[in-house]
Parts: sequence; structure tokens; C-alpha cells
Amino acid sequence: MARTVERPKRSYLGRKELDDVMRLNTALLAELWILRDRVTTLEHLLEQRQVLNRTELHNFVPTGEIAAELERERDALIRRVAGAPHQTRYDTESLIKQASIG
Amino acid sequence: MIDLQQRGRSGLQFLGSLQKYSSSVLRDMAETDFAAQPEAQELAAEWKTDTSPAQWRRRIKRTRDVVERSSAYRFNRFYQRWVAEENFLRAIPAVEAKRADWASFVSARQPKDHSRLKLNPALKMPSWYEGIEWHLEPGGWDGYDLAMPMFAAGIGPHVFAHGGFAAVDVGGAIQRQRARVIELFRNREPRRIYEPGCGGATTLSVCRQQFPNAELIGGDLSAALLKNGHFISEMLGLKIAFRQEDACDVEEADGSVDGVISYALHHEMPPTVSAKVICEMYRILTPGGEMLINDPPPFRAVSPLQGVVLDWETDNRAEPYFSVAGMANLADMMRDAGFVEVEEFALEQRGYPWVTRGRKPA
Repeated sequence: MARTVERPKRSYLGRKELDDVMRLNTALLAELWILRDRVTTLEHLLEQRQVLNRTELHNFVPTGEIAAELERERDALIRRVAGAPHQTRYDTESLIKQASIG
Repeated sequence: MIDLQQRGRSGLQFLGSLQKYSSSVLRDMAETDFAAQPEAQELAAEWKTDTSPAQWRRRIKRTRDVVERSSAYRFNRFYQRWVAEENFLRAIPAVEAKRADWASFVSARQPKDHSRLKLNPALKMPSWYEGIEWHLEPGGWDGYDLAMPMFAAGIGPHVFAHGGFAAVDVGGAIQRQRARVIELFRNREPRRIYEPGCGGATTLSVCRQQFPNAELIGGDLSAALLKNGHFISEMLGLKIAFRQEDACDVEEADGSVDGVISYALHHEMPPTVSAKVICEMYRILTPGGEMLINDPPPFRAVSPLQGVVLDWETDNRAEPYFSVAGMANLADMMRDAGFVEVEEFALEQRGYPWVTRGRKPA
């Protein structure tokens, strides 16, 4: 026995490409959950070791440099994800500007 | 046993939650959508009458065409399939990362008594069984040597425990269901109980809880599952005997057991084989002995939408006999074999567990 399971040839959502996009989306949702699980676990462990106070973390209001950093990264993420279908071209100059975002 | 690492554990827990959502919220929406279709009442009325396999196929196809108008149903099926694949895509690497831990767990608990495990390397596998990757598990029952921890520490507690797959309704605790079925044995002091197609020790360990003094024997085609069952049984001191044998031709003498439990077996074999197994179990039962079967319900016992869901298993979750088993009648097979006082009924909603039981005349 080959011990290989074939992916289904049929479409569940009416079109093969739509199934593929949903597979991508659901896999990303799983990755998102795995990350959230890890962050929450990390917070608990840090609190147990008295490195972090979770209430302080919940109530923390970013200001100054950290607020600016978060805004910069948030804007970049939205541009990358929400803008992906609309990005019809790219150029060196705008890509170089993204170096500071990481 | 073993604890999975964070990535494996949380990934499997995600699958459990997604399946729970799909089988409750989306499933309820699909039910509402179906009820609103103009053909719904006519299909429901037609569904209540049993019919030939050819008619069932036509009836199911017609119903499926109506059910699939629901976007919620289509997404429900998409997630069911996705989770069924991901169970193995996630659990195998997660368990593999713990191979060394598992090896040391096993080596510290090696069974001392091998007299209760009888393997038969010369046993010819029946053609209907060979080459099937049951439930989308690569290689089938014998495909992965860490299948036991994969289920016991991974897929079992994190995904299956929520129910919401195949015939098991969401929230249907499969271990509690097992106990409820075994409680239906009317003889509460059996001397010997046999389970055809036992897999591991899952059902017989529940028998042990209810019948501490009975001799318990399980037979199966899969050497890997029997070895796993033997390991668990010896570790927990359950004293279950396991034999590699075909349920159509078992080693037991005529009239040698007073109880037979068959759990989730018949949907994994063609109905012609089920009939042979039932005759063989009749042979080994003592006069007055009882056979108790739990399997997914037949199509005639469920709603049209649930029938389409059960039929879906055949082409989408490597369950080649699910549909033909749904068209079969185990109660009639038992009567044909000679059983009396045959009855069939559902224990929980949506028809599962579906129990068929009967006695060999005293």
C-alpha cells in the first residue's frame, strides 16, 4: 500500500479554485489560532514566573514610540493583505521604503 | 501517556472546534434551508418507506440535489472533509515529534504475559478489506506504527471527543455512548463475551468495567490494532484475549459465548459479509445468548438530510461500505440467522447509537 491519500477531485463549494482558496483561508485560521494559543500560554507562563502581570498587559495603552511602531506595522499589514488583489504593479522605490517596517 | 507539543496540541484542538462549529451552527442552518425547499415535505414522506438499494440511490441523489442548494450545507461538508484530512496531516507530525517519549513509555510497560495475544501472519486478508485507507488514514489501520498515541493523545481527545462526525452527533460523547450500549446486555452476569472486529480494547475495556468477572475475547483482521489493544489491556490489567481472525470464521467452538458485542463494525464491510458474520456469531452463542450490535443507523431510520450526510461518508471519508450498509437491514439478517426477540432502536438523537439486538433461542 502506498500510504498516500489523494485529495478529492470534486469541488465542495462549486468550483475547484474556490475550494483551494478556502483551504488556504482555513489553514491560515488554524495558524492564527496556534499563534494565539501560544501567546496566551506564554503570558500565563510569564505571569507564573512573575515576569509579567497579565492585568497590566490587558490595560496597557501604547503611547509614543511603541504606538507609532504598532500603527506603522498595522498599516503595512493591511496594505499587504487587503491590497493584494489590487496591487497590479510594483516598483523598486516603494519596496525600498518598506525596509523599515520589517 | 504522552503530551503533544503546543503546535500539535493547539492545531488539533482547532480542528475539534471547527468540526463542532460545522456540525452545530452550519448543520442547523442547513436543516432550516432544507425545510424551506418546496420538495422537503414530499422527500420526507417518501423517506419513511424502505426500498431497494437501486431506489435508495435514486432517492438519495434527488435529496442531495436539494440539500446542496444550501450554502451552509456546502461549507459544512467542506469543513468535514478538511478536518478529516487535517486530523492526520497534523497528528502524525505531532506524534512523530514525541516518538522517543512514546518509545520509553512503551518500553517501561512491555506486556509480560503474551498468552492473551494470538496473531496469525498466514491469515489471508479478504479482498473487500485490503488496500482501504479507512477514514483517510494513510495506509489504513496498519499504516502508521504510532497510530495508538496518535488517537489516544491526539485525535481522540482533541477532535473526536466533541462528536460531530459521521453518524456521531455533535456533543455525542463516544465513550459514554459505548457504555450505554453495553448496558443493554440483559444478562448482567455473562461468562464469556466475544467482540468481532474489536480493533483495539476500546469496547472490551468498557465491557470489563461492567462485567469484572467475564472472560473477554476480541477478534480482528488487523495485527497492529490487536497489538495495541493487547498492550493497553495488559497495562491496565484488563485480561482481554485478542485473536487475529476473520469474523466470518472464528476460532470459538459452537455455543461457547453467552454474549456478542459488535461495535461500529458493519458499516465497514459489505452487507453480504455482515450476514456471514451474524451467522457465525449465532453459531458461537450459547442457547439463550444475546448479540448486541451498534452501528450507524440505516437510511430508513433518519431524516432525508441525515441520510445524505451518511451517504457522503462513502465518497468523502474513505468509508466504501457506508452507503450499502445504510441500505441494509441488520435486524432482518439476525432473524434470517435464527435470532429471536430481535429489536432495533436509537439511543440518542439523529439515530445514533443505533442498536440492533436479539437472542439465540434457549
